[in-house]
Parts: sequence; C-alpha cells; structure tokens
Amino acid sequence: MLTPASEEEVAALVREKPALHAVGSGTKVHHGQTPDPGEDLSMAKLDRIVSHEPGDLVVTVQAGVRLADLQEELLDHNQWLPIDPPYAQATVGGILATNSSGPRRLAYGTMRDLLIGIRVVGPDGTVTRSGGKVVKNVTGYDLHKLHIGAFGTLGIITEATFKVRPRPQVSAVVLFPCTSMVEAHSLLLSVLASSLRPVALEALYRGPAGLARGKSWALVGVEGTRPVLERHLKELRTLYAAQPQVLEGETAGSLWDALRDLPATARESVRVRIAAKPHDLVHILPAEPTWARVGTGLAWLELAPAADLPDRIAQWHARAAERGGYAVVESAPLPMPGREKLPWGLGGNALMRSIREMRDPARKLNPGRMVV
Amino acid sequence: MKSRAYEPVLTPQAEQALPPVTGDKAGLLADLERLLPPDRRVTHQDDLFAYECDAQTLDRALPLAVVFPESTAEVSTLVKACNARSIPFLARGAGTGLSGGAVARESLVLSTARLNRILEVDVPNRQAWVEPGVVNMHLSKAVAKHNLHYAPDPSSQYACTIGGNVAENSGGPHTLKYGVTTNHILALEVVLPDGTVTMMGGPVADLPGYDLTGVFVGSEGTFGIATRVLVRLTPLPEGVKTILAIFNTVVDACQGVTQILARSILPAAVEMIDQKTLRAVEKYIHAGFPLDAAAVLLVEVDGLRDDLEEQAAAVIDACRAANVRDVRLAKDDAERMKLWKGRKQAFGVLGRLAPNYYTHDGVIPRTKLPEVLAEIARIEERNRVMIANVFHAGDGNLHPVVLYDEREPGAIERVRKASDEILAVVASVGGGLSGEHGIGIEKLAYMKDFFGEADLAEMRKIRDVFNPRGLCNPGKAIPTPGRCIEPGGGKKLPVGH
Repeated sequence: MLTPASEEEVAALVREKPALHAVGSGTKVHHGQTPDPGEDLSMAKLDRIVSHEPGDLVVTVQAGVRLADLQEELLDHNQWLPIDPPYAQATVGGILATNSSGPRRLAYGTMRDLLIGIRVVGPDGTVTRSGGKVVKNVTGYDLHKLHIGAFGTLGIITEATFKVRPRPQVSAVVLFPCTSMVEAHSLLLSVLASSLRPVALEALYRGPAGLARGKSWALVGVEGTRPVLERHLKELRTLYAAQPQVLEGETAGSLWDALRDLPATARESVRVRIAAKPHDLVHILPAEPTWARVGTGLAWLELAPAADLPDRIAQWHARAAERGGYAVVESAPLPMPGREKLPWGLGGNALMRSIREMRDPARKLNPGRMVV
Repeated sequence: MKSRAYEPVLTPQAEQALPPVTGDKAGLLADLERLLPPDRRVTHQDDLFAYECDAQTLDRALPLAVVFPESTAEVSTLVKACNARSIPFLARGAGTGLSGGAVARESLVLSTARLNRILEVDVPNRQAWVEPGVVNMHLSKAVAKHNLHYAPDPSSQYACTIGGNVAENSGGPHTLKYGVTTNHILALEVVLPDGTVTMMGGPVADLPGYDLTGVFVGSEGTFGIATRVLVRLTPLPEGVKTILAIFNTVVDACQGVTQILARSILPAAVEMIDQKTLRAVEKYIHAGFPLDAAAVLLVEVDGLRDDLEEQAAAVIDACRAANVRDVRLAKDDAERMKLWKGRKQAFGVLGRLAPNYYTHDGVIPRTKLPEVLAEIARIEERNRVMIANVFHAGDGNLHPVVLYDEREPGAIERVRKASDEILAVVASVGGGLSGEHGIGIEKLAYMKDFFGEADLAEMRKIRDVFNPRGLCNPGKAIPTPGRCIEPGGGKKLPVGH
C-alpha cells in the first residue's frame, strides 16, 4: 500500500506507477467491477481540513478526511455537511468517487448539489482544479461534476470544497408499522404528495437494530425547527389508522445511524440497486426483501451469490427500463465466483468512453472498476 | 440582393475570439433554402440586425443567417449542414445573456423560438420535459395550478428561456436556498456538435456513468444544443415573509448579511440594494424604498408557514445586531411584489442614469463583503467613475454596475481601469469571475487571473471531446491558448452594456 502524505507525493506516484487504485478508508472496495491489477494508493494521510470559515458556510478538505471527523469540526460551529452516506469511517474522497449518499438526500441533495470545487491529479501527474470556494460560480466548466461517481477513473481527487449548512434545531424519525412493503410505499407516497416537507421517506422490510425483523416499516424523517416538527407530527398522526412511534434526540440519532448504515450490514451479499420515478418504484420491485428510499425512487436488494443472478437482474432491469429506470449491481463480495458476469453498469455511451479515452488512454487510474 | 457594407463592432478580445468565417457560406445559404420554408429562415442583412448581439451590446456582429427549427431532427439536419460547409453555429434563446455568448459572427444562429412547447408534466414525480425555447416564467405559471414551480428565477425570467438557462447555469435571487439551474436539470436530449442526437441523465436517481448533464449545464452552448430538457419541479412554498432592512452604511448592511447567515436559518433570498440604485428605482418604479438609506437588504424566508414568524424574527434580530436603522416586514403581498419589482427591474432603471453601463458579476466569500464593498467604494472614488451596487448578497454574488458616458473624454479608460481593479479585488479574496452571467466573450481575458493554464487546458480538452471541430459556438467561455489577450486592448471596454 502506497501512502503519500501530500498532493505532490500523489502526483509523483501517479507519474511513476503504471496503474493505481486510490483508496480512502476502504469501506467500498467491494463496490464496482473487480479491479484490474494495480497498486493501492491510500489517501488516508491527506487528512487535513484545509479551511473552514464558518461565516462563509464553506469548507475545504483533503480527500482523505473522514466525513465523521469533518462533521465533528463543523458541529463546533453548529453546521454540517448535509449528507449521510453509509460507513462512519468513509472518507470524503471515497464518498465523492462512489457518489455515496443516504436517507436525508431527499431534502439536502447529493454530492453534486454540495460540491463547489475540486483539485485532482490526472494520469500524467498534472494537478488541475475546477470550481472554487464560492457558493455560486459559472467561471469555467463544472468539471468537478464529472468526478462524482467516476470511481477515480478521471483523476485522483485530492481536495474538495463544499457548501455547508446550519444544523437543524430538531431531528426526529416517525415510524409506522405496516403489514407489507406495498402498504409502506403507499403511505410514504401520500406523505410525499402532502404539504409536509420530510427530509427522508424510507420503507424497510428487514428492520435495522431495534426494530422487529420480518415486518415492514414506513419511516418519515423530519428536521428543522420545533414548530415544523409539531406540524409534521400533527398531520402524520391523522394520516393512518395505526399510530406512529416518534423518536427524537438520542434514540432518533441511533435510528438515523442504522438507516444510514443499512448498506454496511451485508457485505457477504450481492446488493442490487433499482431506480425508478418515486411513484413507479413500487410497481417494478421484485418480491424479495428490500429497503427503499421512496422519496427519491431508489430500492436495494440484498441477495445471496448465485449463478442465476445476472439473468434475474436483467429481468428486473428490463421491467424498470420500461419506465425510465434501471437495475444494476452496486456491490458484491470480493472475490466472488462469477463476479465479472454481474451487470455493474448500463454500458455507458460513446461520449463517456471518449472522455475516459482522452483523459486516461493508458488506463492508469482505478482500471477495471467502472463501466462506461 | 445587394447588401450595404457592414463592419462588426468587436472589442479586440472578441475580434480574436471570433475571426471571420472561412467556410462555404454560399453553400450553406443554398442548403437553408432547400431545408426550410422562407418563414423559418432569415438571411437578409436588414433582418439580421436583431441578432447582432445579446444583452451585452458592446460586441456586435451579424450572423450569416438565423433559422427557426421546430424539431430535434431539424436541429440535427441543420448542424450536419454546418459541418459539411464548415460554418460555425450556435443556439439562441431570448438573447438576454449578459456576456456576449450569443454573438454569432458570420455563423448560423439556430433560434429556439419555435421549440417552445411544454411536452409533458409529471405532477406526482415533480418533473417536466420541456423544449429549450420555453420561457422560464411560462413554465412556472403553467405548473402553478399543481402547486409547483421551476425554482431558478433569473431577473430576466419573464423573457429568458430554459435552454439559455441550461447553457449559462443561470441563477437568480432565490438560488440561495433553492440552488441554481444545475440543481434542477435531470436530463437533456442534446444535438451534439457533429449533429448526432444523444441523451444525458434521466428521470431517475443515481444513473451509473459520468455525469454528462452536470458538465453540460453551464457550458455556454459550446458542448452542443439541448433540444429537450427534463427539469425538476419544486413545490411552491406555503408561506413567504419579506423583510426590508434599512442601513445607514453599506458596511453595516454587509454585516447584516453575515449576521443573518450566522443564525441557523436559510433564507430564500438576501439581496442588497445601495443608495444610488434605490434612488433610481424610486424615481421610476416607486417600490417604497427609503431615499436616504445607504443600503437596504431585501430578505425573504419561505417554506411551511409554521416557523416563518420565528425565521423572520431571527432575520430582524440579526439585522439589529448589525446596527440596522429600521427593519420591517412587508405587510401584504402587494407590498412584497412592489419591493421585488424594484429589485428585479433595478438594472433597467440604472440604465437611465447614464448612457452606458457595465455590470460585473464577480462572486466572493460572504465574509469578505464588508471589505470588498469598501474597496469598491475606494475604486469608484479613485477612478472618478460612478458605481452602483445591487446584488445577491446572500450568495456573495456582486453586481457592481459601472455607469459612464462613452462620449466623455477619458471615461472609457477610467471605467476600464476601475473594472480591472474590481476584478483584481475579487480574485485576491479567493472569489470567482462570474457568479451567473457567464464568461461568453466579454470576460475571456480575465480567466487567466482565476485559473492556471493547466486548468484551462483541461477544460479545453473536455470541450474538444464534445466539440472536436470547434464549430459549436467557437471562441466562447474558455480563452484560446497562444493568443495573448489584453483586456480591452484598444479604446473599447472589454465588457459593457
């Protein structure tokens, strides 16, 4: 494992080595296609918070900073980077490279809504930047958008600048027990259509710690001020025959963490992500146990490795694609027999391939990980 | 038909960015006669003057022709014809751009005026497919009955088009809370610069692959022509409160912004209007602004009605902590609309104060507002020019408006020097050259002050992947290497209105 301690050292290693795999905390090395040979390049030593001017609501960090550490720094100023992806130890660079997000994305968006500037090391060791440290900016092309979800194939992210927000005054989770996932979906869609402004709408089959297993749950996340929470509770209680359970404070905190970490609980299984428009999702979901981010139209299935998986996923994809959606594999045990036969992406297109070819013709950066 | 002699009016930097076209112009004009009926092409010089420039009027050049395609297939055919004849081309919406991005010297202009249909509104999933020529405000009006709107609201929203907004990544007063155009574009159907049609993004979340939509938005028409746009629709806020805060000094008003942002609220808008602008606005619009204030802040909070009182109280409290002279809530919708009318038409009325004006669009870290505004006041005094400030303070997006009379001896040189100094201050505090107006041709010369050559080279390489022959809106957004561009160069300003 190579362990550069600065951007210059990253650049020097990129120039020297034939192929590199940038790694943060390694929480998502089982995401993406099986990598081609190459040396691991740890970004863990680039762990500095470069600048945080609280009054600007902007923070710049090196890529190896763990999100949890960044949140702690921001908490001192009653701010946060409003994103809650899985794995407490995940680094900012890894979260960007995999476009990782969590339940609260319904209200706060994903990395593409928060990232305002970037520095990357290209395959020839050249350092370039785009964007800046201001919250609104049309100076130059938004090249940083290309690096989000690119698995480091267009450059190794060394530094990132984000918009941050004031922390909400209150945070709560409202839990509805449901008899089925279909019922949970329909309840959550009615919340989505209402005048309420939830920050998360999650349907769970296999409940996280603390919730009874084998039942379905509908969870509504609410954040903001006390009067807004009261309004939500009042209307949510009239929505449905079964009275909800309301969690606030520390108990809500641990449930939020459990929701966030749902993907982290089953590293031995193949995880399939299915996407559809929110109101289409329930119609295309297979019957298997699943959890769903109903407000954003995403659902995940945890499946045991099996030879017929590619065929089954292809069928789900065909059904989703009829409505503009898709089904792809997000992660799988590494190694796993037949891993290379799983559908890891949508095949990309000519433009994506041309961008990759222009940027990294020798395939030095994270080779193998990404289909474009 | 015989044409009168015509000379384009181009600053030296624009002349360098847009050299005369050498392709087969006669061949393309013949193609157009074959491809389109007469009422959908403009080729006569007298009719082309309306397409000389956009809202940045200092750079003007006649296009070769203007065409009005009505479908993606027609756009594709026209682009292919341009390729065959080696003629540059660009798409044009309402022509409200502020950086000369739509100047099409001897090129083909593809107007989106007849691509103006709202194709499909998906109310439950809050998204809509629209054609690029749909006017921003028409879209919001069309979906209002479903309690939805299209959130980005440039001041020109009554005229500007979604296609133009996509090209420029347009902002507006309410982007502080709701984000800019890029945060609201889900997918694009694009005619690429070689005429092929492709799709970027989609109606669902987290599509695997590179975010082509993200890099296309804001590429100023240099990556291709969007022919269909999938936009996100946002629920209308249940309630709105607008606060007018009146300050005795500009620095106090800047402190007010800092104080507001330090509270745990996210206002929908925080706009600053200085005394020169207030007086101009009052003379023509009677919005109800105090004439003796050094500056006012127009602050809006919106969302669920339950905590709006609390949020408004926090804003008022923040203004008091910044030495506000007077702060009050707009009492009703009528007063609210009047205040916003004053804000949104400020640029128009400033145009009545002097024969010429030029608006900067630099964006700075918000904590630097007091020192940068103070420095702009010194620049104004030092260079004996008049500068009005009316801008998106909550985003740190300055709009210093330099007012002048080009007939006055030495005026242009002073304005140019003041402009250079303003941008130097913006760069020195870690700011950006443009917050929302774009680089176009007017700001090309300053790009080197904000990005290194390697950064610009990378941007050119990505552009060349989309636009390898460089026929699609050439010379815009990113300076061409190897041409030493001096801001302004000769007598003319680099930039202007």
